[in-house]
Amino acid sequence: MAHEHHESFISKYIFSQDHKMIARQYLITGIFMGFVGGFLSIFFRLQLGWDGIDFTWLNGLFGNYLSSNFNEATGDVSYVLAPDKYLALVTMHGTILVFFVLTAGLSGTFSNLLIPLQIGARDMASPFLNMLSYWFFFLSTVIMLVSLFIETGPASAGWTIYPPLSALPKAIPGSGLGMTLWLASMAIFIASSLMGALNYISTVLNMRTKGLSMKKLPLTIWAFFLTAILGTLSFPVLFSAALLLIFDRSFGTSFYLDGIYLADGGVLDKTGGSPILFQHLFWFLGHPEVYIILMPALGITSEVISTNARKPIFGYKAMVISLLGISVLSFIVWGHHMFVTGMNPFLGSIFMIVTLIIAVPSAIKTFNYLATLWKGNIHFTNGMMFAIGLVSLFISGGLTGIWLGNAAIDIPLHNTYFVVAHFHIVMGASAIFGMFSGVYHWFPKMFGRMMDKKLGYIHFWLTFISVYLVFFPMHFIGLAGVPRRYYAFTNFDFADDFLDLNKFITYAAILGFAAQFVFLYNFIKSAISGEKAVKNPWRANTLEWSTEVNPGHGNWVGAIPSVYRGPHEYSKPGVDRDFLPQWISEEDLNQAVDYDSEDHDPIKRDVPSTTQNEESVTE
Amino acid sequence: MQSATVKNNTNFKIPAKQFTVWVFMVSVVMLFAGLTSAYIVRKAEGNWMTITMPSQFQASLVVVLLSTVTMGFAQYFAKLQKRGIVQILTALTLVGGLAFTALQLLGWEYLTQNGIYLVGNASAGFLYVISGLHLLHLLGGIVVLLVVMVQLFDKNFNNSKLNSAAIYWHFVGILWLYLYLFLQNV
Repeated sequence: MAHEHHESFISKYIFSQDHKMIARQYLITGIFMGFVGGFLSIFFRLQLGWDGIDFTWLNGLFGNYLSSNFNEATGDVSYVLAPDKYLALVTMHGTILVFFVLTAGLSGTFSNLLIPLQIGARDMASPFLNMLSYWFFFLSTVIMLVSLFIETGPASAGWTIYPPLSALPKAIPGSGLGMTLWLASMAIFIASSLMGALNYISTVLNMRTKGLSMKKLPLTIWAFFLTAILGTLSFPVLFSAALLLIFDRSFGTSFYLDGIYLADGGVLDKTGGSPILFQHLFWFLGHPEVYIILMPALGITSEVISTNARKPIFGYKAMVISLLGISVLSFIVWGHHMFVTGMNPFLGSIFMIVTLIIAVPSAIKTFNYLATLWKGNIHFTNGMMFAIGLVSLFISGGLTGIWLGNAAIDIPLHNTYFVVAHFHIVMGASAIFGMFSGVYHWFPKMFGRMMDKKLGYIHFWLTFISVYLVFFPMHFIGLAGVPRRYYAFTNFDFADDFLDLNKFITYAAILGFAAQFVFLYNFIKSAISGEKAVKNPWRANTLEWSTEVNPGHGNWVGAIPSVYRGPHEYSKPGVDRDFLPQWISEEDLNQAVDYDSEDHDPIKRDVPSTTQNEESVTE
Repeated sequence: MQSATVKNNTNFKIPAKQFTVWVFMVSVVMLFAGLTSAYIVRKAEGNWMTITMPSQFQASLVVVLLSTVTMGFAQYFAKLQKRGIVQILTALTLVGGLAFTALQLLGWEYLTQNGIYLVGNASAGFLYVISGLHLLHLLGGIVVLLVVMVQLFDKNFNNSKLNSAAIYWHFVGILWLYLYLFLQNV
């Protein structure tokens, strides 16, 4: 805390250049957006469960989404969700969750918090650029939120904003101002994430402390590093796609538009554009984006599982190579989102083969997680529960990925609820679980206090159960051919059988959303009055636990520690405790320096440490 | 701003901030890779007008390449600590950048005079968007060079700033070489 007194309130809490404060800013913005996105999903799930349900209670805030129904018999006016606004809700739910929560909220929070701390740096390569990155993100958040409340409604073309719906401002109400704001917000978002990624890459390559070779990097850092590379390479392509879209919308070009028939009977005055071109450009970002979301969660899981199983991660090198493999493959599989666009079947089979190959590194990672848990001395901390939850979801969702990667199966299942179930489990819920795991695990580092364990368990079990209750039934609905993005299913005989199941899913979704308030309460309560954290509460090995609970800007009050070993030396034979931090040299070890002298240790109090060591060492 | 104690270890030969410039250039490469591959895909679908590059674009190519040469000499003399020559060469580079900008605008004027507008055939759209976006990146470089020009009057000027600016300047020059050859021949 040597120099905190130099800082004013504004430079410390608002325009802060301290990566730890920026991480907290990202986290809090991300959590807020998570609640907004979650609320939107409850909004449209209510409509899907009970077609024409009365939303009068929302008329004050979301009146622009509702249309009024006059009941002649009773003389009452009720408000129902307008059909075009259903599309607005799913679009904004997707956009907010994919970009604002799981890209910025997850990667922004933990890359910022952990990269300097775990590699032993005082801050990022450019703290100023880092601050700018957050404020660009904040600005894009504000624009996206404003678009929710404009009269014609926000963007409604799906989070993938395919033209022509997104390219013709008069196509549907959401294609007008809502779409313009979406594009403005995303342009700023892309700039923000590029600034972040530039910093992450330069910091990891340039500023590691003495002794910390790439081979000794924690897997979190490997994941953040490769995620940043994916972002640097793929977001500019989305930017170019959006740029051409903006020209089509506003300046009359015809990159994506052709002479299509219009609803009023006319023909559009454009020639030769191709909406498929947009899909190619979009998915060239869109698929790496899946891994931009998932890889930080996988990195966090590796770290949390190894720490709480008190075992080295099984196959460190294989984990790094798998991340590399996933990163490279993610750039050559975008076509599997486009099997039904009339793609040449030969090209389709190439995309299919490379897609199925991704199962190999993914399976290696899953196997290694399980092998790390195997015969571990498992501590079921909240972070650990969510990490194990991620592994479960990653397996469940990954298996259906092998189905959908196969063109012959994807074509009939395309745009059904099967796809919705698949991607929500494998990248939505998995990544959210990774994010929760990280929040519970690094909360002491971020806020200097511990989160409430019991509330954490309640949060975990309610969330875990409701995720499966929501998304598992969707597989069956999808296999039966029920399409996604429909406002209601009451007008189709074939979907009648699933009306009750749709109600059930909505109940489960409400349960899942309600559970997040347990988390919110726990988060706020613990940040204010939680039990005070000690330096190294999980008895972990990585560098962030070597510094004070609140070290201030600069991270270490004294010199930066050097690194002498890998990040996962847990239960090492011949060592009298079950962890051996990276900053302990052989010399320190021989002198038996008492580096875990704090008696205020939650794990120590739960389990007598002597027996615990013997068990894990002998096994 | 950061306090004095906030300093990092560096274990890489390139300074961290200069490295950030390199990574930024990679992302710019991806931006133009996206646009030029969209150009190829769109062209393959037919209904494509072939446009001959206006001679102003050829002239601008020569000018921008010459300005990267003056920039290179500025770096050379900066190493020799010849501040006065560095200032002249940086100013010359700036003039080159401004001349490039003027020539690009003249090129656009020539195109519109010959009935090639942004609206219309997609090939013209691509030509304007790609050359326009490149020009924006070069204008960014001009702003950076202006900042460096001002900083060159500072006694404690650090060459690494000039080098970072120079790396970017060479990059936008070579980028136009690529884009020109691409638009001319593909």
